[in-house]
Amino acid sequence: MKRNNVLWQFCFVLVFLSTAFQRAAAADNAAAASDNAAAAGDNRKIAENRDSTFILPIRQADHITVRTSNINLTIRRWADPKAQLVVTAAPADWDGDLLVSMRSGADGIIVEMGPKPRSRNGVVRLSDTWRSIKATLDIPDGHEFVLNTAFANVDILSDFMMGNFTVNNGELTAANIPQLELNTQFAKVHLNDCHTGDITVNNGELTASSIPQLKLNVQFAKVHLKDCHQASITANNTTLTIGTVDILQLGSMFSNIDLTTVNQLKLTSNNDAIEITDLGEATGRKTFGSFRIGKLRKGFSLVGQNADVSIREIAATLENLKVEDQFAQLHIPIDGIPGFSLHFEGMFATVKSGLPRKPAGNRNELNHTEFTMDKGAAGGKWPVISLSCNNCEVDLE
Amino acid sequence: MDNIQKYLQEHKSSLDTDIPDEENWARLSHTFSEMGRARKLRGRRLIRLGIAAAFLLAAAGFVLWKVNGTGNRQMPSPPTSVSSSGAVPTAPTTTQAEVVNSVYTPVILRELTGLGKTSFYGHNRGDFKIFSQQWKVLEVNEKTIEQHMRSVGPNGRLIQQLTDNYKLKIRLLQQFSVEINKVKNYLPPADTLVKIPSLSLLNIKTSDYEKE
Repeated sequence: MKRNNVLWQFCFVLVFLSTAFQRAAAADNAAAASDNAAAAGDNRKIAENRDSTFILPIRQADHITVRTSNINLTIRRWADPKAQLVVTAAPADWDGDLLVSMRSGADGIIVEMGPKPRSRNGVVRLSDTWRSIKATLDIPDGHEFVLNTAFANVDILSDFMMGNFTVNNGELTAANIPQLELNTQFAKVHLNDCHTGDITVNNGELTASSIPQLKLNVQFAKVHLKDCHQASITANNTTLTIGTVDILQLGSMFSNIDLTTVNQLKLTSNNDAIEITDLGEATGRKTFGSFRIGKLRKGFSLVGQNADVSIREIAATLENLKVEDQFAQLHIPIDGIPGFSLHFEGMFATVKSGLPRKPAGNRNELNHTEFTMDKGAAGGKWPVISLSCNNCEVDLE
Repeated sequence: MDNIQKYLQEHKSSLDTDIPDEENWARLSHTFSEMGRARKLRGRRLIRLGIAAAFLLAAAGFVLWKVNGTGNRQMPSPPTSVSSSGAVPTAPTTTQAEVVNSVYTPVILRELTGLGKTSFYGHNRGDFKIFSQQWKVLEVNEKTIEQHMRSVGPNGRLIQQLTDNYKLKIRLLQQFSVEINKVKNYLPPADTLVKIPSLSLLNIKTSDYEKE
């Protein structure tokens, strides 16, 4: 009996404390909201079927910070030294309020937009009708810009000096941003003409025209880039397509990688399908998967494990070629180049070539193959080719 | 009933010789009614405690469900408490997510069954560890997408991500099969090698896919 009483009293105290904490939190929130309202330049609740305009003067050094949730935004350039935000609220059956705030902070101008949904019987629902609200922000070019969006599409038609964008569940289009930092999740991003990009994409899509200096970290995504001068890319479970890259450092896992022209490649690959149409030179490691090269121009050095390598054409400009691999298919058509000096070694290996072989080495083991092959006039400066492959099928024709 | 009780019942009227006075009757009656009320109160308290315990258990169950997600591979319905329009043109329903599940799960099961029939000889099981690690990565990503669907409601982009994740799983199993066959083709069986069942390298619970 006594124990039951104690339990019951304990439950009662718990409920009482929980109610007390909730009331305290609500009071804190109300106080914070009131403080924010006091600090804000212009903080409004927008009614439906109405346009609202917010205007603030802007200094050259001001940063622009925009946080938008569920409200689509277009950012345009204009010449006036001020920022103007116009929110167009179409007739809609909103289930809540739209809160918009534009104010001058210590660092610059801060814009915040988002619906505050009404709670009905404890159920909070953001209906599709929120999408009928659009906003336009007009600002002069050349500012540093911080953007944080969720469930919103943002078009940036203005030029910023620097951009720091976080996009969650939405679309972003931006152009002419010299220095860009971008972090996306479940989003689709289109970029045009950014000079330096530090980009992280999770579960999304990225399309970009030209990013000369790129640092890209991407997973579960589709990425299409036109060209880069220097890129450092980490790609996991991604489909990556790039047009031209001068210097590429690529670390990838379980990805499909399709590159048109690469001059210098440093590779760490695990179980990828990599295809390069025109390759200058490459060094790296690869386990599993395949590496297909259209034309190899200068040099190739790969340590592989279960990694198939296939080269369609080797240019006469080749300087060196070295492959160490196992359990792989190698197709390296050296027969087509004017001259070379080759050394091959491998256990359980079959080698296909029409050129004469000279036995080499002193290992008299069964199933061990070691030989050299030479082509071209004596005294010529021919590329050195070294192949070592255990349990492999090698085609040199 | 023993003999003494029987005797008392039968001779009740003859034994009631000294009847208590009014004051004593009132006191006794008060005592009896207090005892009855106490019993009722105790019953009510027990019922209240039971209800409180049920609420606590329900709350704990809800928290566990939210934290761990669903155990099987059926798409959880999005909660009605929060939903969002998202920024996508279409507004697919949970049914589409279930369709994605029902389309890809049998394909995965088929691949797994095929792998289950394949054994090969190799030096080292650890060489293929990357495949089971990758499977775990894909499982985690699938849970992330599902968690996102639960919190914001399914939309076209999330359905696409879920579809892509299933495609990656199928591609992984196919790649694994290719690599196993490569080793089988290029490595002649020898006494020093161990027979390795392919499926044992993946560390996948096939039962998850047999449920569908």
